[in-house]
Amino acid sequence: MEWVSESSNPLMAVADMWSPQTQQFAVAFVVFSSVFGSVIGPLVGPFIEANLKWEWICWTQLIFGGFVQILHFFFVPETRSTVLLDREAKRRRKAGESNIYGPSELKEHRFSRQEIIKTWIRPFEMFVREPIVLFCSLLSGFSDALIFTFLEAFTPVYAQWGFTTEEMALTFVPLAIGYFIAWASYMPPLLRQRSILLKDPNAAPELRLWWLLYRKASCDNDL
Amino acid sequence: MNVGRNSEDTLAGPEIATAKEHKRSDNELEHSEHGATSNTNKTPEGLSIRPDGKIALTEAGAPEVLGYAYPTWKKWSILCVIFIVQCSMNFNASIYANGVGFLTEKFDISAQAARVGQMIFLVSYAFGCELWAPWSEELGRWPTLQLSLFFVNGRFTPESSLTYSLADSSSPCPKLWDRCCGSLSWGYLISWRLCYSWNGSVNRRTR
Repeated sequence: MEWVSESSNPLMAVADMWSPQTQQFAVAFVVFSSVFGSVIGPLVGPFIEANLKWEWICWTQLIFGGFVQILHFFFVPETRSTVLLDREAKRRRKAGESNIYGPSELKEHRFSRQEIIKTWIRPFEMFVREPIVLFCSLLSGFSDALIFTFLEAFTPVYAQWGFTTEEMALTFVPLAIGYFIAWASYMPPLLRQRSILLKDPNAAPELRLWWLLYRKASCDNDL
Repeated sequence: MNVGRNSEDTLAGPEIATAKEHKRSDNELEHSEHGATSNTNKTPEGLSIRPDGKIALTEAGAPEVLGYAYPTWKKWSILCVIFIVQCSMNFNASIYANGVGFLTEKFDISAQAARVGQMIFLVSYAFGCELWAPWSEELGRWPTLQLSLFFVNGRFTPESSLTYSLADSSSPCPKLWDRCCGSLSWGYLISWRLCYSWNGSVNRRTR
């Protein structure tokens, strides 16, 4: 089921701030963070496992999580358009412009059951009605399965070569470097894509996919 | 029909997409106004006057306050924090593997049983986002992620106290249960990324 979530989330996290024509680098950055983040665990984990009590797995999670929450609290403003419009409408009313309201202020039922159910069903509806969502999700789910199987396979393989728990962590360094190279390799195609889309927003959407095609092929061959 | 809709959405430029969004939100507003669709007058500044005399502020009416209008440094500082949040999410997910050994030893269970927590995490990963989506859309991204992070970080309080009080207990049940809860909140956190996503996807484009 993981592909349900994996396919679209990095593509959309930036949709509040960038138009589809200019979002390439932001999308690539967010996707990179998600794959890069997945090697931090195997990089740090074995050192904790070998040197500390197991509670420290939880404690490092809490430290990292708390740090992230504070960071988000102070440095990430709201980006959702309806919320920003509500605030602007409030500001304008205070400034003397009467009778102006934001989108949510004019909604009679902000959390109607129908609306919530519609939102919940939508992704599954898209699987049926939007083939591109279905196929990108399948592709993403497949590569996620590859990644996780690959991560799990490291331990038994390197154990045969007498790697200690801590040395096992270091085997993930090349993986992190590889992710970085892959990310960098996307820059030239993204630059090209950006200039094409800025000139012609109606350019064939498939042009976004061609580098993925080659990357996917090489990634699968590696495994 | 399907193909036509698909290509229209995918090919839409920003202006078209924005116009569509306005149309959509206007429709929603009118819909909530007892379905009175014909009486709405649009003014050029992106303000629409509703039948009851209230003026609705749309995206076109205040483009300068939207996320699109943030300066580049602000957008990228937001992305940098999102980068670290994502790393934290994936760190939480992947470091579980290093706990499997401890779990099998401590509770005398198989590695497979110890990984059930991870499995539950992955399943909730797929569905937790669904639960967050409506709140992210209505209340905004900021409170939704703060709440989600609060659940994730807050779960450690009962977990660590349980861990210490049960440190010498031989029963795996409370701890495994706790681990599952933890996994669920991880799922919520991680899949929050999706609630960010699906709705944007429907409103803006299909890809």
